[in-house]
Amino acid sequence: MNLPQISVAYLRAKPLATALNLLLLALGIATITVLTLATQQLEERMQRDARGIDLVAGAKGSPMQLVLSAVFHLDAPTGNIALADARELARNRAVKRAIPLALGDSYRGFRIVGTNHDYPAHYGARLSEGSLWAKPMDAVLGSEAARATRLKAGDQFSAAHGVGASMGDDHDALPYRVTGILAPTGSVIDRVVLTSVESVWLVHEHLEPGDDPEKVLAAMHEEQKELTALLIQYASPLAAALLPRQVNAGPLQAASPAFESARLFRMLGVGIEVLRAFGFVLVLTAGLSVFIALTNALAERRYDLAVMRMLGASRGKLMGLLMLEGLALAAAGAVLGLALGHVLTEVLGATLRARQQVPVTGWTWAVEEWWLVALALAVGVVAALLPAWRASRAEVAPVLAEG
Amino acid sequence: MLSLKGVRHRYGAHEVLHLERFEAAQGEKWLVLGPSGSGKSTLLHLIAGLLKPSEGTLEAARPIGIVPQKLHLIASLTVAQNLLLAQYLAGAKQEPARAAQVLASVGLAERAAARPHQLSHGQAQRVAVARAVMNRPKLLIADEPTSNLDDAHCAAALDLLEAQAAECGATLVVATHDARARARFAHRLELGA
Repeated sequence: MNLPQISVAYLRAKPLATALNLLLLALGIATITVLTLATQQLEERMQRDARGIDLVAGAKGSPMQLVLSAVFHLDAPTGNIALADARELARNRAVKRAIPLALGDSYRGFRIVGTNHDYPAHYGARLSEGSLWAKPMDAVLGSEAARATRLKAGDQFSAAHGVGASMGDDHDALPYRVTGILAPTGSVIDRVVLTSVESVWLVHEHLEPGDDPEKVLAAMHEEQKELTALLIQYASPLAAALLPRQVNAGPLQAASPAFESARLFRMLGVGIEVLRAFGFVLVLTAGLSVFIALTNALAERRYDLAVMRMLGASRGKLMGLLMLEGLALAAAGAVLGLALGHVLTEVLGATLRARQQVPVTGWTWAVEEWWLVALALAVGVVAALLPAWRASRAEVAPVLAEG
Repeated sequence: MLSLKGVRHRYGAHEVLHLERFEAAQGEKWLVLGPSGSGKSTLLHLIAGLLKPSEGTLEAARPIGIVPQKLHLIASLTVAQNLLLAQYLAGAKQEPARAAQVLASVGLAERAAARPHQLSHGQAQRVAVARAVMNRPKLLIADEPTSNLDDAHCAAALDLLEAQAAECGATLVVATHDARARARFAHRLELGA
């Protein structure tokens, strides 16, 4: 026999009250865990996806929409821009590198991104199979896109117009041929299909069977050649002050991924903070519930506590017993809550992955979770403190005499 | 073994016990008699150290085993755990073999894993006695051990206490208002109302 055994025996003897207190605490911890894991991974992922991209230039409209569509491939593009305007901007001395993007089609929900070889190089992508695209209608799949579509080098597929989950073969006259598969990078490139800009132009020319793509491209007017956006890296820090203003003064719009991501998180932040506060309220409610349970148990257990004193227990031992019960509840609630939080995050992540959204996993550990454990234990200790002190101060003889 | 001199105990201004002199030698069996409110339980609580006398000196050999009136077994623990708890809380080494032996001596070897609510009153009383002797007490005290018992069970309860006290070589002090116990004790202390 020892104090932990006595505490656990008492908690097990009250299964309903113990289970309810555990559940309340676990729900609060789980809520905060899900929010912590999800927001942290989303922030990390967005930072990783936007790393090295100082500015996005695209059609005028919502700057956030431009960033979401061109950097994170989450929203619809704001529109197209003339190739001549894009070329002029790319030649600007303030621009170190400009990666062209031509969007508009998808395959089984994965975006087809017309670009050049700088784009996979920017994300440090390496091939796990085959080679990069060499000519129009060659395509390279990101690892997640390849896994989900089960396409491999040499396979052909037809693009669907739009960027939804549609599986319609809108462009089946001119199929793509897979030339390579990229190794996982942990960035947005895992979830896209890469090809040349020319492929995207060709697909929208509605070729007839037998048409020669090279001839069609050569015959295209300059005005027909459009891009969706340019991902720009500044040539110098000074460019940050000048270039956005210059771009916005012309036919294009400039948007900063860092600024728009931060703005997005500020907007989402209100909802996240409300949910986080709800989690904390649940944890505090659990603390109150543990306090009420232990306080009520004092009356019910006054004979037990008196007998323990009669058998030789010191006041400190009785106080330790009640504190241990609060701690045991809190520790079990924390473990249960963290486990539940990780499972729920994984379920949420699986749902997001199925929709080709930003992936989130529950099988990771955030440093903040140690604070959650500490919070739960602190709640247990605080909730048990007063009942424990009262138990230790109770007079034994009157209780035994009252018998 | 047990010695009280000029002991008085008061709750506020109300004096509940005044005992000028009381001494019990090792192995003696004492009966403390008196009507309700005469201070029997207070005397036992003073001897057990659960109360401090308002006046006077009290010396008692230790360890002391106590059988409370309502038995008060810990409901969440098994019978064996209740016995080991007495050793743990007294800071003594826990001896499962001793628990088994004591339980056997009170005729409850088979009930070691039972919970208190699964016991009859008679069995619970024997467990309470077993718990009181776990630490091999030099002084065994029992508060109203025969209340609400018929004659047969009254005799059995007193037999058990006497046998266990004799096995430990302990002084036995039994407080009761039950006149049926009077004939069994050579030493009696009568407290007035």
